[in-house]
Amino acid sequence: MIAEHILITIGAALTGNLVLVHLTGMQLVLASSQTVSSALRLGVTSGMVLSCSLPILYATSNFILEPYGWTYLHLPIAVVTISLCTIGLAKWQGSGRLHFLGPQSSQALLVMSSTSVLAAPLLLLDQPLLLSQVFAYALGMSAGLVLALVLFAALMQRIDAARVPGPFRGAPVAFLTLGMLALAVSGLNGVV
Amino acid sequence: MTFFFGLGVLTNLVLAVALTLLCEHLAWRLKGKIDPVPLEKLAGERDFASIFPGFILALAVPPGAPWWLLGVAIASAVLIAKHAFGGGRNAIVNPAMFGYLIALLSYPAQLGAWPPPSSIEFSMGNWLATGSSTFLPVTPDAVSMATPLDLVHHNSGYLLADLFAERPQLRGFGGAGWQEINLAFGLGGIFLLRRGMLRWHIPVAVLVSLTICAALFYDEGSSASGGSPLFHLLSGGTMLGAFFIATEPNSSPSSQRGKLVYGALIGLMIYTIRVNGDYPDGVAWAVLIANVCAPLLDELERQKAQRNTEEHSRS
Repeated sequence: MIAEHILITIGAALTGNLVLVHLTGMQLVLASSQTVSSALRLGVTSGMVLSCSLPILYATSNFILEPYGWTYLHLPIAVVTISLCTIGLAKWQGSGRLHFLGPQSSQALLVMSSTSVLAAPLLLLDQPLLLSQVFAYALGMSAGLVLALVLFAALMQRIDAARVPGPFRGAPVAFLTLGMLALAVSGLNGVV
Repeated sequence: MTFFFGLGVLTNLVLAVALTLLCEHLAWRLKGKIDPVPLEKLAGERDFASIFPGFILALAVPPGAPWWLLGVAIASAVLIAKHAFGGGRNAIVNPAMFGYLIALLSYPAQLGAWPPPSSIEFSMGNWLATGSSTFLPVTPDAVSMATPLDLVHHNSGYLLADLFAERPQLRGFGGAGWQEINLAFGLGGIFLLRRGMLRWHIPVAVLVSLTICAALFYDEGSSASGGSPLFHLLSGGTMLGAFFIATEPNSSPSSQRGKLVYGALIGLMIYTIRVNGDYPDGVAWAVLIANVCAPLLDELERQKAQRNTEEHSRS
């Protein structure tokens, strides 16, 4: 049972990585690539939003929307839930209890909630999981997002110091790097 | 390697060097810096570093693979993985492994078509044919045989002991031909270590990590076992990867501790991908995964050194 939950977490982090496998929220990764520490803060923040919102969305979907046939409300409810989680986290952060996340996180959260975080519950709909497994899945998704953000930021820090040819500077080399990162992760296909 | 797999190995080497020089020439011309580009610049000045990815790719693709397969791999390696990032020291991943993986994903059948080693069935015709098939339209299955790693990977329902007894490719510890080649690459690596041309950290970490993983999960040959530690060390591209691919300086960490972690990660990934992944040999994937982690390892080391300096100055 525990092994199954661990496998779900590892699978969601690596072989089902939100950014590198499902290719969602790439603009977030590209936007948060200044330093490793800022990417880490952003990743942790988004992971917290994911971990809060996914179980709520799962419960809403399975216990309210599916039984009453209101499945067309999946998307609006996902948007509302994620927004509420984001606002709640921003307020909590504003109270000083989450000072380690830094001042820029609350702004970034708003960007995130519309992209990668929103994709996660939609991906969750296709997975036949129990509620406890959804927690493991959310944790894995969050860890995967942090991993992608941090690895990409470290790579971009190194590329910033390189003599990249003019036509490749900026977005082209960032997309190439992201592609290489996605290629590397695809080697783990079948592992979990 | 030529003795076991035929003339195609030499054909690959010659073709790969020529294609690498061609791609380097193209890259320098596109940069518009030097016209005409001198040959020593194309070859990477005195150490011939530029043709090294071509050399590695020539050894990584099956002997007698079609010329365009090497062309795709080398063009991806030189033009995308190397020169798009600024060339030479600026590459973030090992160019040879990036090119190999692009070719593997694009043409998996051709990259899996290894000829039978001459120690199993020697035929002068086949030995010579691997050299000519580079330029002739020969189907991949015509002169190919499953590698030891392919056999173990695709026959997970069999007892390993039965599989080793039945299949001639699995003779010895790492498979006929493959174990000798791996031993030769290992000896070459040790020679370079003794000459001081390689640092020991990465190869030792790769081999130790792979051995520990294989030993931990080896149960003397049940169908669930991934193979003995010796099988993993002496099969596939283990020694070539540990000594000549993973040690590529531009895409590996600079600190000693970083190198050890990097090597250990490669060993762990090789074992994981070989036993649980979709691919029979995981060396190229493992190196690419470790390559993308290398800047983070460097950054962590830098932050740690910075913290130590601050603590030292405070005290």
